[in-house]
Amino acid sequence: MPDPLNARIKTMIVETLRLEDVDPASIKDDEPLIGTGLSIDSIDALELVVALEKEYGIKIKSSEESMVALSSVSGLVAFIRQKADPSRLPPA
Amino acid sequence: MPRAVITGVGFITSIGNSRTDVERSLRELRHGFKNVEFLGNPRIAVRVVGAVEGFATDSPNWRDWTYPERYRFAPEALRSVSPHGLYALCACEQALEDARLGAADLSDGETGLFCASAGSPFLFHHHLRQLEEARGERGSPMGMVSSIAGTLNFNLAAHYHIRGAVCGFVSACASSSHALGYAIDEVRLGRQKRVLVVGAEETHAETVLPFAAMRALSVNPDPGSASRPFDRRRDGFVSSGGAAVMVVEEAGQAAERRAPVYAELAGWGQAGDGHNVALSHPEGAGLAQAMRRALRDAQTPPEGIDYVNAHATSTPMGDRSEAAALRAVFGAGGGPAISSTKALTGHALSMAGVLEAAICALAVRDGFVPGCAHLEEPDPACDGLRLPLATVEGRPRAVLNNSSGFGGSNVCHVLKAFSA
Repeated sequence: MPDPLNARIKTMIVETLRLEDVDPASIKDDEPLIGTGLSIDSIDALELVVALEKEYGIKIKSSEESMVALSSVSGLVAFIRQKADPSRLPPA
Repeated sequence: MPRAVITGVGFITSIGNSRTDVERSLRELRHGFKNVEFLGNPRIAVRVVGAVEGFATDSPNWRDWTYPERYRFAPEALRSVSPHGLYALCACEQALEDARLGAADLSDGETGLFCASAGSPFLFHHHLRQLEEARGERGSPMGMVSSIAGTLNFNLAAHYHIRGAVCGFVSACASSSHALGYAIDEVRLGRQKRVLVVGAEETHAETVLPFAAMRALSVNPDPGSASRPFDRRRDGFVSSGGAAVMVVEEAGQAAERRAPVYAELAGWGQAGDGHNVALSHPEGAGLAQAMRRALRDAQTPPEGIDYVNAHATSTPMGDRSEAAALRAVFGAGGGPAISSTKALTGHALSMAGVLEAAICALAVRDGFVPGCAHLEEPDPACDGLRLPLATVEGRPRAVLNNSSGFGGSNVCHVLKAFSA
């Protein structure tokens, strides 16, 4: 069964960056988010960070941390699970 | 001395998004106003605005904007602009096509860019709010360059790879008139082959409503009469926005390129009122002086001017002051035809000067003088001034374009039919 947090993050990427012709489900779990098929660059990434921080009440403190967090959808899921208050996460 | 001519114009305005549409509206005295409810609040008394059609820019997120299909801009060009930056990009495309200029011409180091806008209070407010919500820890990296005054020159210089003189001008409603004046000098002094002059503004609540707080805006809810410069019943201006662009070029250079010439920019002048931070001098002292200086620079006597595009915004005090200034320069009776095209376009704030200079360029090239739309009962303060109600056919020999901004900053340009 698909992970609801994984699915929610993919939807957020598409919604925040208005990637109109991208199906959230088509975003690969382990592909780097920045500089690959989705054409997300560092400025887009920052907008994504702001949206994620708001939704999950987390803080991505440094650019090093954001590089790790934004490495891929899987990386992002792991990061959020580790940092966020569990009550803010969708039930698995 | 090198001569400065106009070789291209571009318009995104309340009365049309192309030269052809703007000219038709001017000739037929068709206004560009509609009713609006700012901030969804029906208690706001200001109900009329001169908004541009064909654009949706209500969202602070550039990804949500829509704009006419004939223009296409890459995300890199859009994410650092505000709504009026988008209007300016579109108007620039028109002006460059009109002047037959390509990308390589613009980055030759001999082309400058002078801009004017108030920035985007709408987007600036959005970014500051975001910063505040994050308690200062997180802001958009494009917040500054997309919204502060200067955003036009930052973005357009980068987009068109301008390597000549790049500058912004801030004198409120005289800003783009200053930009045009200094562009004329830049060309006549031989410093630049050409200068793009750009003015743009927004009609979002954050730009418009501060003027309501000054009681400068009309509260007349009728789009057909809210803006009526020189009329006895006028009660304030109607705000408008969009973008206007003019290509100012050295005449020899224009001839070499076989570029079409609208008119010669024969001279300009400026003078301060030295009077009040927001109100015009009651006798229009600074404006009269600016007109005289422009005429002297253009070596044109007052009798040589056939049309004045007045600054007149439809405020009780401002129009009266300009009427006094016009009488001081041209005398009472038999002077040039005078009209304020703000009756049709609304007052486009810092963009007004270059918009109205471009309107004058159409008048000179295509042979007409726009009439005084919505003028039914001329204010006795205008006695002795020639205010034609209908559009007059025929080519004016020379025209004067007036502008005034806060602090009593007055700027005038003289345009003439061009002969080599």
